[in-house]
Amino acid sequence: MFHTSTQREHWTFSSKDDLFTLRERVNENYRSKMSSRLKLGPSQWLAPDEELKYIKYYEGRLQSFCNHFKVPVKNIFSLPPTVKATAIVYFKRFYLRTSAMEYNPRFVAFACLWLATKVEEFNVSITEFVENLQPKDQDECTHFEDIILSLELPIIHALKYHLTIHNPYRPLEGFLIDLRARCEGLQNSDILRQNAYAFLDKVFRTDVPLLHPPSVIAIAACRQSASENKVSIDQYILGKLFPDSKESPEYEHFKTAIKKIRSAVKKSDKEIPAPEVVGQLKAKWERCRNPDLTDEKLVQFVDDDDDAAPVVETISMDDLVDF
Amino acid sequence: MEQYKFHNRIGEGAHGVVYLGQAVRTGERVALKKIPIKKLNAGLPKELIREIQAMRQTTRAPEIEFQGDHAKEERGAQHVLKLRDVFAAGSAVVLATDLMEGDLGDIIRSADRMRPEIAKTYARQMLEGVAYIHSKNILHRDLKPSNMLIDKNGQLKIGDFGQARIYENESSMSHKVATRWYRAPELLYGAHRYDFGVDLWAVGCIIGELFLFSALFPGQSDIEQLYLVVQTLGTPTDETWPGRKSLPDYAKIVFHETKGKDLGEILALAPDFTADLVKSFLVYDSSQRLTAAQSLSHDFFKASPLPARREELSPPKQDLRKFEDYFSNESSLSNSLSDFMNS
Repeated sequence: MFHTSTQREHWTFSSKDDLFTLRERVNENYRSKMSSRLKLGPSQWLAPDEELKYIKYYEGRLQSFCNHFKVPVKNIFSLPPTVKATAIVYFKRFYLRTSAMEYNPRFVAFACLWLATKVEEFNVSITEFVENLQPKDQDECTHFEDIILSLELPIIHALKYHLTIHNPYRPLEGFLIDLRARCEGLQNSDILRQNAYAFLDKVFRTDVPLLHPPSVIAIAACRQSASENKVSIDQYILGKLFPDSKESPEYEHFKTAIKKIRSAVKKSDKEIPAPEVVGQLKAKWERCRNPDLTDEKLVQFVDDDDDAAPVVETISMDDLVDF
Repeated sequence: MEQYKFHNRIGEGAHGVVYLGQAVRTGERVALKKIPIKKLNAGLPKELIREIQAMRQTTRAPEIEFQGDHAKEERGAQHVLKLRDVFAAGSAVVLATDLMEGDLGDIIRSADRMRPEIAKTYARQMLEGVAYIHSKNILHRDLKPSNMLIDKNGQLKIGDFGQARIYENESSMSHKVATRWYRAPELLYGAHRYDFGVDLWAVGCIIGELFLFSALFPGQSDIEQLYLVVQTLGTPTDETWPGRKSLPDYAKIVFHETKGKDLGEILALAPDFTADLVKSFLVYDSSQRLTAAQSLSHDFFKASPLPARREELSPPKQDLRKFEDYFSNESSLSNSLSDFMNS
């Protein structure tokens, strides 16, 4: 279903340059909108690269939050990988259209996961969800609930209401089955799963999910895991997936994609900034953030029946979409 | 995104209010369903999420032209309510869809009975729509006459995707879906794993109803619902329903042995092959039900009387319309916007 999806049409970019352009545009848009109000010098705003680092920090926290998520009363001690993947992709997409200086990325991260649990039909209540944030008392619990709920609308708006995420886990399972049947020496293709999952974990720290289709990412994961398990699936890829097209542009394109994914994953450890860098960024962020969208202000809207948290104008990216 | 003007309130559903709307640029009329987001409901309602997800999947971009094999599929797309836009308004999400004027439930219940040619055309449009939805890997899970909406040209479009789900092989789903009279036996027995068959059962019930002018299985409770099904289809056996014993509630309800009735007799007045078509949907074993795509080449559609041409379908009768034509009365428009803001 990916080939007819909104993911392919609206959210798969052709190059890192496109992502760079979007992030610059988001940054520029925020500055020009707020400059008359905030009266800051040029270096007092978060620059695009700083914004990205700041977001990456919270993206990393979201990953570990997902890894530790549990609801003991429901016997839930881990999240399905699809819920986690959907949450992280929401977070990435949100910040292609909205500046980190608008809503607090810390709560945007949690709200993305909250939305993902609904969309992936993984049933937890908002209270069970918020327990994972370890609120110190009932008041703080309500406070967290309110902030997360107030962010739902701004988030789905920035996502253009495209809620279905095609993740690489499903195609990965498909390939494992196919490898078992059609790849010599891999009757026990299940041995590839563990390292492939580890690879995908790293993929989600990078921009790869915004640049490549899920099935290609899944093959890259299989291939990497195979080589770590001292087997090769290249014969299978060439013989079964591209049977008569060793020289074809599709195969060339595919090879380049696999290479790019692998090199992005190799560098994935560097994606998350060091704590001291984050400290400095946070201090800067406190001064340049949108004063209308502080946690306290967002919460007020929840109690107000008629009004909702403001949905900030998102930037247009139509000119960067390929299809 | 298009800009829309809100006009009068034209309906109210479980999750929101529907307004008559107009696209500012083209002047085209649309339905605007406004769903408020309340903290009480834990924020965005699941039904809304499902509706958006399913309709995003089934609404294709208008600029894509299908040819050859896809032409059939495209015909099906015409019979599914289109989601034109989604946007935020205050603390609500608004879905802009095609504007529909009536539904099949009203037509079935109305005093003048529709001609069999017309009923056949509705059956075909519904099956084309269902085949299209299923081809997009979506389970509607609430097919019933009142969700078969009729537009101003009398054409049928399947609506209300509030219970729809993207089908995934291994996932467990709620059995508390579908409206009772159209609920497949596996759901009545509490199944958590089911598939497109639940929609196909409903389709069989609806086609029967089109020619009977009343519901095939009008149960007043879930138990009576099962009872009515068993009375008609007969007690299920290992042959007719191999998987039944593993259903959660199967052992809880036991009915007297019965051989069932002949659907042919129940549908004696319907055109040839009607009972045959209905029977091929109403089988216990979900995997044996005819698929919507297969059903389109069933003899039912080839036998006399042939389905009416789509041009022969008429708009819902005035008294069956969901609303009056507000556009003829401009003065009613001015206060409607404030009505919307205050709602």
